[in-house]
Amino acid sequence: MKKTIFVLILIVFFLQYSTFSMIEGFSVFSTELILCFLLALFLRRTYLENLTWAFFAGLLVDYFSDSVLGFNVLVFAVIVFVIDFLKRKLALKEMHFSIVAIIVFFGTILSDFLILFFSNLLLLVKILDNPISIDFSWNYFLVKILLAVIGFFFYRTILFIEKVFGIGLREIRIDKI
Amino acid sequence: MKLSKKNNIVVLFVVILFVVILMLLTRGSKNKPLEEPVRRSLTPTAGFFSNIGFWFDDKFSFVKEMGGLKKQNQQLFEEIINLKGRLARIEEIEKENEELRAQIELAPRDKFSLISAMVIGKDLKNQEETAHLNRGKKDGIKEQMAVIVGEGILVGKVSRVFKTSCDVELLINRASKINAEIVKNGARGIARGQFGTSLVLDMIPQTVKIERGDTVITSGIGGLLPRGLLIGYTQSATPTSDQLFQKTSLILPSQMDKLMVVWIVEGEK
Repeated sequence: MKKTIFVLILIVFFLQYSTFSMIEGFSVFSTELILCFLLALFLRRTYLENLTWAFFAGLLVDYFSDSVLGFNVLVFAVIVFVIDFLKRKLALKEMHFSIVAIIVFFGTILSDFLILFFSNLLLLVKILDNPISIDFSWNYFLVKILLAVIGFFFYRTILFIEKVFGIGLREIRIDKI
Repeated sequence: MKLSKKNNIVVLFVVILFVVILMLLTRGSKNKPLEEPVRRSLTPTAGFFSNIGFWFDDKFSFVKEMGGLKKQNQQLFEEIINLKGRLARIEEIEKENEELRAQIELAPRDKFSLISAMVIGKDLKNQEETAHLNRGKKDGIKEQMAVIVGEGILVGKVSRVFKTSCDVELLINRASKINAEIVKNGARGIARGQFGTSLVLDMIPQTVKIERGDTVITSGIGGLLPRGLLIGYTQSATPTSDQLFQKTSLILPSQMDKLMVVWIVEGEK
């Protein structure tokens, strides 16, 4: 299962970086494909495992971008924490489309806010040179809605893989407070 | 392993601390640790996936443009790019003739030694428009080399080089700054990327009259980029916030999101 997730993260990353960025019209949402996948994955795995995947995926994104090494790791790690918090509150074994879509929708927006927050922080300590800004227009939210749908598709894919590997719902630890 | 909520916070804090230490240790360093082996090992995979992307783009374009129209459109598009590059040179020659100065060597493609490269990935997030090419140090690529398409249309410059690949900072990258010149009147300014989507020609003296459609080329100042590469065309000028200069948006002659094969300017022949 872990090897499959490793390969899936690589595939989704290269789909984002090398495939959809080349197709006219697809580059709009392709910048957050890996984030979408991670949000869906974080809903199904344990906290420590999620942090491992966040670390790996974050480093992968950092190596293929101009961002400081560790920047995306930081963002993904905080998202893992937030998702784990939500999982404890919801305590659902398998999530309905609407809940997954809402979590992915707000997860991608949270990621942008974290990017803004951390980039301004790093700017203050002179680790970053240029400020980042995000255009919160109607297009922005439309893209997030599309990403929410894609996130659910990823969620179903992960559920399917779990079924293939025979990992039942009892394997997924969702702690209720 | 079950973790309590408190332990979750502790683990998160440890991860954040580790990442911050990593950032502080690598601050100021141009290359990230282990970046070269990671890039070298994954560049062929990126090339494979980019080919899939180009294939799909080709098919989608076909559907959109209906059969033979697609090919004709592509041919016309390439011809337009070539003609725009030639037009820039012609205007420059006219200007020099008018001022009776010695002809300055422009930058037609046949004057330069070029290396072809394929775009195998793009980083489009956070207004840092960067393209990833499949040429690197082993092909003789160096930092700050100009990257062009068509007959001499500048799309960016090489920002980082690895053994088998390199990163290109596109013109619309928010960190991109190019010394530029308006062909018609010789006014010089800085072409800056804005928001990862457009280009602005800034720091133009207030005394210069700028008209819509004026051709803007690289000025060659600084010696990094050759002179005469087409950057874009001006729109209406507006004063800068300090009222000392004026600036204008530039219309780009090439589509940054349709880059597939580019040429890296190695040097003059």
